[in-house]
Amino acid sequence: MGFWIVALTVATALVFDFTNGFHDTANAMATTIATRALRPRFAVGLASILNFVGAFISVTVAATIAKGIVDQAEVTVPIIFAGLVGAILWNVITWYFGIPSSSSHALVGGVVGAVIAGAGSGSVIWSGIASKVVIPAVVAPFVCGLAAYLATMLSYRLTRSIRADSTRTGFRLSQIASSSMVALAHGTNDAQKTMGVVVLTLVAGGRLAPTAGVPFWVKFACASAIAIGTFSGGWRVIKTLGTRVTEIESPQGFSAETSSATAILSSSYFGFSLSTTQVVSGGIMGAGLGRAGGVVHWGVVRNMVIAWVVTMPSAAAMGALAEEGVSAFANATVGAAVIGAIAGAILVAILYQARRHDNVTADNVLMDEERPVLRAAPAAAA
Amino acid sequence: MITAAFKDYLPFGDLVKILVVCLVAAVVAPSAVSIAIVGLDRREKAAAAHESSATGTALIAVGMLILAVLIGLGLYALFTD
Repeated sequence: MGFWIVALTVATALVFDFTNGFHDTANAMATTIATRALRPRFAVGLASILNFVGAFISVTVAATIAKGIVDQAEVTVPIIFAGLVGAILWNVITWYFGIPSSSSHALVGGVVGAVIAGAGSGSVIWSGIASKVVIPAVVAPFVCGLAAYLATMLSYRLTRSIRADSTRTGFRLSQIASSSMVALAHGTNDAQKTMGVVVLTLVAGGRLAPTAGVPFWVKFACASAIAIGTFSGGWRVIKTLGTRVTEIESPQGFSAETSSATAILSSSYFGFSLSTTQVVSGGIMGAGLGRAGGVVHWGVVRNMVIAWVVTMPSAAAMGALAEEGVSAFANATVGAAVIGAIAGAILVAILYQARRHDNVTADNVLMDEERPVLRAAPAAAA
Repeated sequence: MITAAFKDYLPFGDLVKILVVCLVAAVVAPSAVSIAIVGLDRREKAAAAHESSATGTALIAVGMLILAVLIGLGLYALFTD
């Protein structure tokens, strides 16, 4: 495989890693920012450092992509490229609308779509999609939501005779620790995933021996990309998770993040991977319900769930389109360059639109302004 | 039949373990923080009344110790993943 298609795919994987960090900053820090336990810029800075450190913790990188979901023999460099393009586009579109959707599901969806377009639907392992995507997506919010509900109830009950400012201070400090654990785990899981994609690209492109370990530059590049993405702060998603799902107080933030960290780490430990985004979203919902008088905006939750359902098919459609585009050219490198340029133009247009009309930043992320991010219709709030 | 079909796709044993760990943490973690907060409150009251703050300090230490153990377990899970 030519050098330039491999280089282009590695660069695209790093862009995906950036959008992954950018999109998922909210997972660790939305509640910390919402309860003002940390200032927004400091919170994303801390998450960024912990994502960077987390990327170096585990050394077990599997050189597979969508293993158990598509026939690995069909995963070529152009298909990886097309899958990444689909995942990046879906990540940026959902970010624009402030939707906390799963980057992992977007990546899997992009690759599945690209494989279907390139090799046919017979190369997709549908039972793998059920066990690795559909069922975990259903289970994750419930497991974490139940734990967060219980933790929130206990937090309020055990401290009801204590002065409010002491309680707030105590839970805010503890919340920083639990959020940090989520950020660290996110760096480990998600940066490793991109490392796997880069390694597979290098192996498939004949640039790395299949038995070789992960080169240091790959680790460093992936850790840096996810850290820079995290530091850029996906403020729109932070706004949705931190302020639109429910009004979060410090005991709820602590409960949501502790439950999320426990669910992510325990599921990883037992070898059953849950989406960080869906776990944290479930935790915030559970924490919202666990406080007496707490209100969960079910309209926002409904829109999030719809987004979770359509993430994989949408990313798959974009991955399939990208694969069709690449394969329309006799030279895969030229095809990838053209599709990459078109995708880049779409990204720039979305970013420009977001900056020009609906800019959510560290300065206004907690302001209750009318913005076109995901929100409940007034009648849907319950 | 539905259970049997579901089991084909999801390891129930692992799911139960994850659920149990989450529920235990959901009880232990807020309890630990609450103990520390109660200790902080007692220490402030004791200082205001010019009494010994040993009980408050001990409660803070116990709460912090439990939290430290939880964080240690989380890091252990992360490093042995």
